Amino acid sequence: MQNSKLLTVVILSALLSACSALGPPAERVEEPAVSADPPTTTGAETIAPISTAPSLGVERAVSELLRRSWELLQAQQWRGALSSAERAQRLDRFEPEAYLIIATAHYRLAQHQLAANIAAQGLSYATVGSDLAEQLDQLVRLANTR
Amino acid sequence: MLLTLSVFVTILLLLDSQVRTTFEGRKWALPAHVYARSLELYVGAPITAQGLQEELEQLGYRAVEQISGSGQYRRRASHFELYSRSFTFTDGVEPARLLSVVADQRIEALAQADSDQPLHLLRLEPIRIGGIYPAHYEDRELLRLEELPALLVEAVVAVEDRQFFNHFGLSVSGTLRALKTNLSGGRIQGGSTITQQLVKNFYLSSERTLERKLREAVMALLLEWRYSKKQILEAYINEIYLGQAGKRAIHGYGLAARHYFAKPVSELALEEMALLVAVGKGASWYNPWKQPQRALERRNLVLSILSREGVVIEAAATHAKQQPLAVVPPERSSYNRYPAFLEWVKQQLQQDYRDSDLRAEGLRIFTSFDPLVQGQLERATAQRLQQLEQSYKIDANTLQSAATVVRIASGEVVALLGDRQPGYAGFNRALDARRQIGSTIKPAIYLTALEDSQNYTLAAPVSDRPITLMTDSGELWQPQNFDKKSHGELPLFSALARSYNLAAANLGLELGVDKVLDTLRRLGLEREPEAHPALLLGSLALTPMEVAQLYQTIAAEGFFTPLRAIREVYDADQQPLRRYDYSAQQRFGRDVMHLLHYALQGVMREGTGRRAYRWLDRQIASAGKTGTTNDNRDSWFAGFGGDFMGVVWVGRDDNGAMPITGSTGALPIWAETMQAIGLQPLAFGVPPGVDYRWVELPAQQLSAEGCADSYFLPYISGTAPESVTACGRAAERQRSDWLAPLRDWWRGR
Repeated sequence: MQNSKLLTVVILSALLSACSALGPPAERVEEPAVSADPPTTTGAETIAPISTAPSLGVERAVSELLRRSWELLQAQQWRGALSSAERAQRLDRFEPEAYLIIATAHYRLAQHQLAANIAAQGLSYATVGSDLAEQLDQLVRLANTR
Repeated sequence: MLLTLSVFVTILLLLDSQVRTTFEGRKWALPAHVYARSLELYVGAPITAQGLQEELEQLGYRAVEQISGSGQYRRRASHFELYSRSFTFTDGVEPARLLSVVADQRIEALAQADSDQPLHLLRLEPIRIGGIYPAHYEDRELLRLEELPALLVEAVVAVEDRQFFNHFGLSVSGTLRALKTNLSGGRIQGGSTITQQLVKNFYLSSERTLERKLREAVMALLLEWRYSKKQILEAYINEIYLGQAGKRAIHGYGLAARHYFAKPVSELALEEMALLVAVGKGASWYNPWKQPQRALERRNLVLSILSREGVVIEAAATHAKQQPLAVVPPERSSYNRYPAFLEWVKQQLQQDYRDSDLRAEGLRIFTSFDPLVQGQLERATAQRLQQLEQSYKIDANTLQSAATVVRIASGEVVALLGDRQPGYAGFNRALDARRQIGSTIKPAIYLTALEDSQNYTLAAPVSDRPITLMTDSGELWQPQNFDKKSHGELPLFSALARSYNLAAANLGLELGVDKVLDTLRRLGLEREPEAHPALLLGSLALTPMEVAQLYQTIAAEGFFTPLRAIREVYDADQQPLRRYDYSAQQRFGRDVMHLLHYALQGVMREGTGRRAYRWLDRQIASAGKTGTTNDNRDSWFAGFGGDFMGVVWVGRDDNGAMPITGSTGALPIWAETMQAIGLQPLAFGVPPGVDYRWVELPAQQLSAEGCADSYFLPYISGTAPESVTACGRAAERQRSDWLAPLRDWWRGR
């Protein structure tokens, strides 16, 4: 067993020396204390972040509602667009597109402060630098200037 | 002669004017009808098979072996086949269709049954949950003649007045017969046509005099002269008195169909139509619940008449006669089963509508109410209160409770309980009972600290040492912990999880009571309480709804949304009148709220809220806070997961002491309800501006996973400690030492 390990080390050493130029910076490291001292746990249950991604079923339902909301918005049916987008928002409250539609409808109904507030909420859920974030940001600024 | 003629003409003109005024104006004071939310069906929706069945039953869907039309379903274990009803919503029409739904703990599959085409989303029509009635409590559902089944219209005419389409308002033979009896001194009677019956109900009192009979005859003639048969029949069909539900009088065939059979009139079977026509002869005399045999005989007589008059073939009548009365249980027919919620709706409506309009304009009010959540809340409350009274030897029925459940996404109230007895329409504790909130206030103190991120982190030490304070009013204030001990210094998040009073008081005083009050206002508090130190331990008295408003802002990561119950209001002609829009205002940063959510999860995992996991699955992350006031007079719990937030209060109306705490009283009701409605895990994604670090406590130094006394804590960016423990340094070195695994392998580790 030990012989096979030795053989493995020799082969690996040869390989490593051959490509030492590609390796990490040559830094002499001491054996970490943590390796010698097995970790202990606090005993407490760790509270950790959880993904907020919706399930596939919710995603499909929301996507259908958003599609319908855009259609109603295009047709200038503000009430319908609001109803449909609010349904989407109820199913997935972290979907920034729902907020964009709701805020746009309110903006078109001249409810500018409401539009700005809702767009700001959507913006807080949008991926930084995404198209949606940009649209929401523009809407916040536009509504705030009114 | 001329004088007589002039008097006659004048009377005629007066009567004509009376006929026209009533018939052309608003004929009836129409109550406002209140609807629940429409149930959204999609794959993954947290609706159990039992829940779906309950919803269908409340909607009046009939369980059948062979589906033949709308409003019917068939269930085989978890598989439902149902024929939905069409309904027009603001954002489109939901068509009637044959559906296949698989539901277990949630909706597993959804498809169009005839084509197996999968469906992503659909909704059922909303359940009508109550009304706001005129003073005389007349209730009706207005229908146009063409909305009624032709068979029902024919049956009404055949039984009530088979010459209706041929006469001019009066039945000559009937009137002569009545006149003869009346003139001979017998009992005043009348052979009334449908038109005469309508005149009697619309314009005249119920007194039986010859003069009134003559007026009835003249007005019937005028009505027939002025209006078409169709208009008269339509008015009659909506006017006729057909039953009583408590104080509420049931008028018209549209509402009677729902009252007796819990379904729309369009879905009535022949025998059901016949029963309604039978009941029209005398709603109390032929009451099918109280006098089933009498009602059955009258119904069968109606069926015989229909067969004799050629309205139906004899075989159909014979078959219908063999059917049972099949009316729904009387309690199903009682409206306003949810008085606490309806009161909340009414309070909100009264800001926009006059009371007289609410009671007379026939408004249709669509709300966020969820009967399935309400049902679970009612069950959990009844069960737990009974158990508490038995286990703690408390007199039966002395504990009271109030609770609300709110959809976090929209701030909509989906369930509301104002009394332990569901359906009780008296004192509404959820809206009107102000009780001290105890430790439920503490998140506001810790939130105030966390907003001051340069001075406070979740790891910051908080003193739980005894405190004595002379207040401005000269009182000595000496708060104590529940266990009467002090616990030195401990990290901020632990102090909240363990709900230590001394820690909260010390921290609150350090921050300033005014600042905590300001936080409470931003969370949604509308009262202006005195800035007394005792406020820090929850001496503030609030209603459960007010507490819910505070926790809604917390649950929604700092976005304040006023709690609401109404989505839309339509007028009697089904035209939209007003939307109650979703609104939100950011009052706290999502980063700070993330830290508070962390601490409130600690309450649930290790602190005073951990009992919740006797009911909840441990995989379901939740956040919340218990509250208990002096001498255990009030037991509170407020908590939330990913979709719903709930507040529960348990106490006694006489404000008496109880042997229960927030953890043993209110929390189990919350947990049982949330478990039953399939609470989603807390949405605990990391918002921008938050960094997680392993930190050793109480040293407050960066550490690593697996190091002793280490916690994985969120920090507002730039506020995490910088110094590193030895264990943390070693772990860091190990991470950067790419040969370490090889060495471990060599050593056989």
